[in-house]
Amino acid sequence: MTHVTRWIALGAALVLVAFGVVLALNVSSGPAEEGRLAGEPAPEFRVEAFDGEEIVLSELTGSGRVVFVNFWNSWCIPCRQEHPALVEFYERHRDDPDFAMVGIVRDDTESEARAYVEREGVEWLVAFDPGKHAALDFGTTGQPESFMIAPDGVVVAEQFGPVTVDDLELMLRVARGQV
Amino acid sequence: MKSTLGTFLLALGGAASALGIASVALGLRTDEARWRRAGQRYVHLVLAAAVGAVAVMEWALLTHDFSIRYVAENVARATPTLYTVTALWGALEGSILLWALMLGVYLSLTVWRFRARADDPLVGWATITGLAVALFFFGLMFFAANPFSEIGGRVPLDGAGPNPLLQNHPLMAFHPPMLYAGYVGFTVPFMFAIAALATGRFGEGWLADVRRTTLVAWGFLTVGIGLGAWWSYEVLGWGGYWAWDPVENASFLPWLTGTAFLHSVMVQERRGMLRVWNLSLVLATFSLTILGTFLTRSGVIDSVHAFTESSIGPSLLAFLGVVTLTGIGLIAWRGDALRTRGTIDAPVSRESAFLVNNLLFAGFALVVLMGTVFPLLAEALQDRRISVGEPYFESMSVPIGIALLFLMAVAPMLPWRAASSDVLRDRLLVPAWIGVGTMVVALVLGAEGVAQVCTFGLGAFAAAGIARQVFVATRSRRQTASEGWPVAFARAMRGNPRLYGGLLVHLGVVVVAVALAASAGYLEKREVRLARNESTEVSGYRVTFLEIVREETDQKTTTKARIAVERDGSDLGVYAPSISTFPNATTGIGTPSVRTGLLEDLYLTLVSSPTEEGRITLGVAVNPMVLWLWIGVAVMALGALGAMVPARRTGHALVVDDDPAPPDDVREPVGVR
Amino acid sequence: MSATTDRARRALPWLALLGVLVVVLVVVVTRSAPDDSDAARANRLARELRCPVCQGLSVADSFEPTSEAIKSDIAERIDDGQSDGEIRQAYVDRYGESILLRPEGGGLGVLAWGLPVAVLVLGAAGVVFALRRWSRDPERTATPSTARRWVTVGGLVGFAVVAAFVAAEVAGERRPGQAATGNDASATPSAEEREAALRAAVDATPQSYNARIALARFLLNNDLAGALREYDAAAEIDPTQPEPAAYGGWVLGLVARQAEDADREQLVSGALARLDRAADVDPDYPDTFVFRGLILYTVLDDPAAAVPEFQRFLATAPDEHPQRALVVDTLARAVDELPTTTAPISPTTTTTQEP
Repeated sequence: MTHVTRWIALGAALVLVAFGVVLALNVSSGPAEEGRLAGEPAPEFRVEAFDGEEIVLSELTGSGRVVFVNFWNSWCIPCRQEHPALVEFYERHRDDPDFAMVGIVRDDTESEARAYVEREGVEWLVAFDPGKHAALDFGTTGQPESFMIAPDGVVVAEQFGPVTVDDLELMLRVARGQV
Repeated sequence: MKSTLGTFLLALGGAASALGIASVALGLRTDEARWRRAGQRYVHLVLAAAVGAVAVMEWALLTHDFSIRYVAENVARATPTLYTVTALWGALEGSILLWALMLGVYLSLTVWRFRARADDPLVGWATITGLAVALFFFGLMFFAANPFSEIGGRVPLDGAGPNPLLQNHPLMAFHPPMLYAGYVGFTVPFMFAIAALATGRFGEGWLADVRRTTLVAWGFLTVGIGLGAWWSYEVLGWGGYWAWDPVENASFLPWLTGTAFLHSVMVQERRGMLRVWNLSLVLATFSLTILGTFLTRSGVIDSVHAFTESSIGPSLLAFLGVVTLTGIGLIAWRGDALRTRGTIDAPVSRESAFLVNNLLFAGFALVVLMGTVFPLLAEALQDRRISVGEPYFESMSVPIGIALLFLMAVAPMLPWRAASSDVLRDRLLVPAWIGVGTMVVALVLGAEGVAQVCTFGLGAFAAAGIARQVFVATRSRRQTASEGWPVAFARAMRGNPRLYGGLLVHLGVVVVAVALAASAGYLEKREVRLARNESTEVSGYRVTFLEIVREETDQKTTTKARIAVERDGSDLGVYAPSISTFPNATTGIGTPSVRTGLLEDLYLTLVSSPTEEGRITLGVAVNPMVLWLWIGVAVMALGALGAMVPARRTGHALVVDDDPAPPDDVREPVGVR
Repeated sequence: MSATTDRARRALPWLALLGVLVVVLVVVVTRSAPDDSDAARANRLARELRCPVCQGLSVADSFEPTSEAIKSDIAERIDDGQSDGEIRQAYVDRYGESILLRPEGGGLGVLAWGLPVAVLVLGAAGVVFALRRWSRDPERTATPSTARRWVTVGGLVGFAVVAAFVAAEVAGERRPGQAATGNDASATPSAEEREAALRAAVDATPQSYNARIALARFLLNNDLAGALREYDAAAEIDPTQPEPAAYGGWVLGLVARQAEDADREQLVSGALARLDRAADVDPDYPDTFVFRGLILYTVLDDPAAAVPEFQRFLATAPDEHPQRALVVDTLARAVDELPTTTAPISPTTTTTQEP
């Protein structure tokens, strides 16, 4: 009887120590958010540009271009924070023949999105995503989320949250195979 | 100034704890009573320090002293007074302060209650353990999570304000304190369990000492969990009240093991069995409160209720390790002496029912624990990110819950030792037929779902058994004492408050179980898009969107949709679900508007702000019987309260305790040795 | 005698109670049979997926716009005929495993599902053991009546457990309670899940003969065209195996049986060509001959040609071959149909040929 109690106690102690180690590992690492798409083929999307035309990802990449996709909303504060970076980045590369940039409205009303584009003078392609198919296919969990897609259709970089010009330049160089 | 004062009080609390431990330990070693008594006086000093620290914090909060980081981060000038006061437990550091306050209160009350037995080594060891826990929490605040730390740099003109979810409903004032009163209360049985192990007096004496405090803690925890569910229902706006969220689970875990203990303790009291098991349950319950604290405060788990990530995780984990390993070590050390020669006379008896009850509660706790920590295991062992949610918990807990309900219907009717088939027939046959009859009625009325129908039947079974028992006791009292029904009823209940309090708790559980089954099984939920003055019909309710009203205060900007509700042509009034935006948050916080009814609630949520065309998206849910959840929890709390009343056996009257303790019970004399 | 009647009289109300209870349970179980309508499936899936922008809520529970989009996406996918497994997999591909609120049964999931169940079962055994040991008090030896009560309690507990698991199973979609009855969703994955897994294996190693053949075997039961494709691919990968050629031929034969006359000839010749190749590759592979026999007999209506094939099968096939009984029967019928002049074989010959 005695030794039974002790053996059970020893077993319980070992299990608990193992459990404690697991918890400790989690404390030290903390929950990590990692991209799933990087290195994977980008999901195809068909979205509707503000001017009514259809934008198809494979047609953009198919013509040998790097495509930068940015999911945004007018009401999202981090999106507004990153806006100047997007403007500057676009100004630098708008004339590059191998570059395209698409902003996809993730979760917003049409008029507010149009008003924002008007007000901020957004000149790159912006599009609505009816049914949120693109947003879901890219596995977005919020906004802004940005994806750089190489001409072969593979996502080379993704970022949750606001980007800086340096981030974008690095992503572009990776997509062009310059890194 | 307040910062210095507060930090000083924390240091004072810690020092008082340390000195108290030293003093009591010296007293135990030298056998000198005066050291032990002095040590116990330090306990009151710990309470004084905690009260002082809380007072300083409230003072700082109410005077908007933004030089203190905690104040700057958790209140704003525009925050209403109620939520300024409640900001004490709105964030990590303050919540530990509240914890320390509760602990001080429990420790002081315990020492005061046992003042006549200050020389008793059992009480001495319990005091040491309690002070050690206090020392840990004061140390934690002093070194790792000081609520009084000053803000670096310039003092801001205004604070950030509480998390929007925490300043949106007055229940926030009651839910956390109740929950903590429950959590912290389990420290007292833990203290005595450690003391029993340390002194080698693990007979039944310590159980009698902690029985009432355990009930207090259990009652508070029950109410705290209930209020938490109610808060979720009224604030979070998804139409439910329990999402098996890690933080909810963290409060449910000690409740499960605590409930198991409240039952198995009776076996030990009556029959002197299950000593190791009871000690283990007490240790597990306390450890689970610490584990819950760790999970919610170390940032390892995502949850709506979780506090922000902080550096106290390792300390809490270390403390958890010390607590559990000490407990297990002591049990192993005392293993030989803990042996009891158990005898169970018959498989159908109250004792064996309690064994099964404990098995089910322990299994339930394991299910909840596994589900809660499984994502952590998966991440640590396989680097996989996994979620565990409602589908898992529901499919595991429904069978266990139904089995528990069955046991709850049968077990209180079983006599101790052995049940003859005559007794079983007398006590169970009619209630069982009432239960089956209820199932038949439910089927005739069109009820669906096996779990639902079983719950209704077993609930009726249990309730009928309780009613029978109360009726029999009242009747026999009436016959022997020739009293009227009401007097006989009151005196019968008064004669054994523990039994009838327990049965009242069971009645509350029946109510909760039925409400859970109905609301989870028969929920109707729709999302509708409405333009102004447009109507739609959901489950017999006609909802019409009247207009949008905007209200702006310094605290928040609220967009309300006024919704007229009709049913069967009769006007039920106008309800106004809303979305509020707070200056310190980017996304809006929805506040549902609930029409509470005895049979069903109409739950309206404004899902999205009106579009430019003025259309809104409205979530409409019809939740059956949700009100009865809160009623059931209240009944459970009342029952726990009743069970704490000391028994009074008046004069000649016969007390109907259906199973008096067997005469051969060997009880350890309380407070002697 | 009177004691027995007395006992029976006492047991009567309980038996009646049990009877009514069983009827009630049967009624409620049949009434609550899982709903397989599209809407119910969509709702079930939505309950199993975590709302990616919320904390701890399912897609079904939350009103977030993202959840609404996922709900309509699920409905579209169901309209497109996707299986539950495919839809789940699509979301796992996009959002990672953590989108699922119910841990998978395999691997580590055993811990989540199995451990509590195992502990409950072991605990129940422990309780029974403890009760037995504690009740083996020297002063009180178990009387027959206590022994009977043991049986009663065991029966009651067993009944309660079974009832609870039945309740759990019917109350929702695939319950883990099924693990206790040996019908664990994780132990025997659903057809969609198995298909998805097999397809994934093929996609991962397109040149693996084993992966192809496994998928082909699976598809044989529900997707003949797919099965044929996989068998042919497998035959190309490893031409020394008789199985893909033989079964590919059989699939074509099956199709031919239902085909229009015009197409039939071509299908049959394709089938026979594959079967001939199989026979060349491995003359001792019995399935080739049963297939050839069946095609000759049932499609081309040529019992004379079929009979030798069946005999060859019986000569090569091991005793436990699952088609053996069928072949013996069919052979007998085929022999009956033979023109008398060309009936040199009696059933006894076949039996003697059996090893």
